[in-house]
Amino acid sequence: MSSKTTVRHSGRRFLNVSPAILMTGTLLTLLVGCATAPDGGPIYVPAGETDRTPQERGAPTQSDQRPTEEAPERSRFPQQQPQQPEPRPDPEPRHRTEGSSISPAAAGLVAQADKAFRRGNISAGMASLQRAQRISPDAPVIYYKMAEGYVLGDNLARAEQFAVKGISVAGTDEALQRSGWQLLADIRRARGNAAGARSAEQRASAL
Amino acid sequence: MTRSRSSKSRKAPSRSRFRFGGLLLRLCLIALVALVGWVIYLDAIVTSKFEGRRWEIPSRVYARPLELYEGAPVSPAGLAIELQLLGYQQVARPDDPGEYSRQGSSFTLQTRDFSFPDVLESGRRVQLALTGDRVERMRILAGPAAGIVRLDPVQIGGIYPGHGEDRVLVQLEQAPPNLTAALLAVEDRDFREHWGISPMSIARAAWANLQAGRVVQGGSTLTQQLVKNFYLSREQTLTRKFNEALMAILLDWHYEKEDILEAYLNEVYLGQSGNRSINGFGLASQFYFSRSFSNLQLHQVALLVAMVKGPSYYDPRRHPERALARRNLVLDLLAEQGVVAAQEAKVAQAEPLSVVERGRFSENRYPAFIELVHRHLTRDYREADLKSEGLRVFTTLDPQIQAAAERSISRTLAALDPNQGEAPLQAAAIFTGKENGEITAVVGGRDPSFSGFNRALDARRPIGSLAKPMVYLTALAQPEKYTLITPLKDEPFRLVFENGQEWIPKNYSGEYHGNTALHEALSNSYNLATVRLGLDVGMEAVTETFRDLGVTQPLPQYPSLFLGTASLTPVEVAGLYQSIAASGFTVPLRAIREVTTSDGKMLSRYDLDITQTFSPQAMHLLHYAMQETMQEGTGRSVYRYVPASLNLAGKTGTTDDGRDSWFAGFSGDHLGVVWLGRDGNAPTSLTGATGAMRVFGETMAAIPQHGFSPILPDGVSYYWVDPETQMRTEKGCEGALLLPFIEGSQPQKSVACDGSVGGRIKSWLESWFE
Repeated sequence: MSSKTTVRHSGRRFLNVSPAILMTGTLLTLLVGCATAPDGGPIYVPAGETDRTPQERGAPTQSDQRPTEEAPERSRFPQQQPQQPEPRPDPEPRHRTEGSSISPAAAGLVAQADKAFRRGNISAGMASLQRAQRISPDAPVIYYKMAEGYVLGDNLARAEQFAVKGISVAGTDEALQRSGWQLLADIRRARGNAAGARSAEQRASAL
Repeated sequence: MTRSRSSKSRKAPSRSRFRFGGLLLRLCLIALVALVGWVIYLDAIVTSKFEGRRWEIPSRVYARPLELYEGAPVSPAGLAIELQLLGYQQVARPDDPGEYSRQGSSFTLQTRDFSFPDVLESGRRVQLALTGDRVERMRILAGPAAGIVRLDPVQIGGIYPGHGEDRVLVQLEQAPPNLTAALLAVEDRDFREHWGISPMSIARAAWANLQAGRVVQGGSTLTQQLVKNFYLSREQTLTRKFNEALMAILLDWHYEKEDILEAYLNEVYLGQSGNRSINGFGLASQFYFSRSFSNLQLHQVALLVAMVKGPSYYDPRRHPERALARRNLVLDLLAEQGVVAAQEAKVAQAEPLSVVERGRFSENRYPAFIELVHRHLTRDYREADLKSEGLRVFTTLDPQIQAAAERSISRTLAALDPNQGEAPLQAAAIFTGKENGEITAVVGGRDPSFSGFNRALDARRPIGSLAKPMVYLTALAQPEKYTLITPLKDEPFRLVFENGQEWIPKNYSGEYHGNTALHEALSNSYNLATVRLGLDVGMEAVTETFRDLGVTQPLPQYPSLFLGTASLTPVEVAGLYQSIAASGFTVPLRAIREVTTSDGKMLSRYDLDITQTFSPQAMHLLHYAMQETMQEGTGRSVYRYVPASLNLAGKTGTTDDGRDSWFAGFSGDHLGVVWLGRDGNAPTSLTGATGAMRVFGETMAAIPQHGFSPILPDGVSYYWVDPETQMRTEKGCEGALLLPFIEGSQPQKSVACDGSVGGRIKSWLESWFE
């Protein structure tokens, strides 16, 4: 008889009870909390014309002809000062430490998915979650919920990938990170990866 | 046998009469048997086809539905385009489904019911206020409460049976009031009484024709018309007429009047759209009025019934006066026969034709995308079923992004290659959702409506510098050896192979840059530095990186691989860069979300699938360099087309003599790959930046979206460094850069602003006394 932890999936019991309750509770609190937190995400830029007129846009400037590694040999020019000032983009590459908060619309879909999973309707739940992912692609809870759906459907390999994805977008949110690592630990244990489960648990408790 | 002469002569006439009579009788018997056999044969045909009542229904292909919620990225222009594609009518007060009103950036919509694969989305009355290209406020004035309202999806095309018939099946119960009565009044007054053919009608028609001196009336019943269209061809021979009459009688004998009528409603030919024929009242309602069958008003019912006699002759778009005249004639007839009140008929006659502009929904408006969908479908479904089973295919196409991509290709190519000439400049583009791999737009050539060679899917071209990120990624995944500030030598060299062959790579500018920091070598796309780096990390390792990121095509095992002699199609490049955009998670590209049967039963669902296949830490470093490409490197001129605040990451690509102009890049929400070039591989004067990137930029500029801002992964931190000295430094020091490092690979030593270690103690002491 195998000594690895088997995953029982009658109804919602697929993990040890306490982490599941903990996670659900945490996730629901986080959903509420996140829904009202200010959005620290990337800048939303409306569509529109640039500062330049169509003529300016079309005309090549001297700086275009400055040799870059993309210019073919025959347009080799000595370095020159640009005749027209180019619009300045962000002076530096961007990054952020905080994840995005989940949109209320997506949060609603996640709640719907949760209800569907409770009813045993995995398909409907996954459909709602994919809609939610399109709305808030950086929200960890969506990926965690998808992982849960895959566990319910006994597809642990996919579940693990979605848990990893969720952790990768959690940013500095420790609560979200912790839930993710705990979820990952449970999934890995269920797959028989004891060492992987332990290291995930260590990450969770270090937070 | 002997006979007396007298008896022989007496018997002869009656015997021949008897023989003649017997022959006639035998012939009649044979004819009767033949007729009975023929009738049995016809009967079998009539019943078998009618029992199944199978029409070949084309599969319908839908774009993604637009989802409306507070915060949704929608611009007023974009919403207007979507509504127009859906055939929504702009009115002063929207009451009926499919109507809307607009005041600047405020919209009030009356949405239509739609049966999505997961749920029926009820029609609602919704008020939207758009600000800054987002839904700022959404109120549901009527209909079930919801946080998200899904509009019905635009039908973008279909997969049609060979005979080109298109129809939307309807049931008799769905008929609007007066339709049945009108149809019978005009086409078959005795429908309920006759037995398939109506001698009364024939007599009436004969009389009318005799009086007029020519054919003005037909005596066919609806049953006969149904037989003609459903079972037989349109020839006018006597044999066909004979069969038609027989079959009509048989049909009437076997089936209820209501069934026959319903079949007729779905069969009758009512128009033409290109090489699609419009069959049945269900499709005709949508085609002419953009309304559902049950929603038709009296004057619209009258027009459709009027058109039965001759849909081309009475085409309301091509011959509006004729159509109007006949419609009003029909209304007169209805009043005469008491089907409608005289006053009602008068009111209806005063209405204009109210036929909408010919919608494009019954044609394939996006042939390049439909082709992609079709290829995916034929992997899982039989061609025959696709053409006849009425499947509903829900795709990922975003009509607004598609429109933006088509427009920017048209404009850019018109500007770059106005005269076209013998070898015109061609283009291909593909756009996807950055985090889900859903294909939102596909353009297969310079003329997007032309369905020919689909370059986005099939043009296999060397990718040039688009290969370089894979070389750098391979290096950055070895943090003990390479960081973003590792110095590379951009200096000439010569490679000699075992067989004695030589290769002397060059930079495009012909110049050399000496010692260059790794991130700059990528953002400026230096060839020599890249080849050196590639040789250092090894061809095997670089090939493995390509494979990890999802490339399955053969790759040349020569150092020229580092400069992109590998040939890929634009969609393959999109798959490759999707893995980069999704931070090391491979996300297979998808064009289809779900497929259902015609009555909504789910057949297939294509779910989001992600697999981590590359180190997210190394990816983050690559993301830094690819952003730098767009801010200071070979891609910086994108900001001539794109707002300065939209942060992008990308890579330009050019092959020898500009034969291929490539660009691959992404924002926070969307990824795009564009190719420009000539089909015959002739040179162009373009670079990746002056050609393909321009198309990318103009497309992105038309779409409201988030800029790129990657989340810092576990195990990566930013440090201020001085690339000259390869040491840590402080913010504000000259030449200092804030760069990401994989933990443990950052420089261990520090240097002060003025270059010395002592200087640090000095500045520390100084800060004490401030």
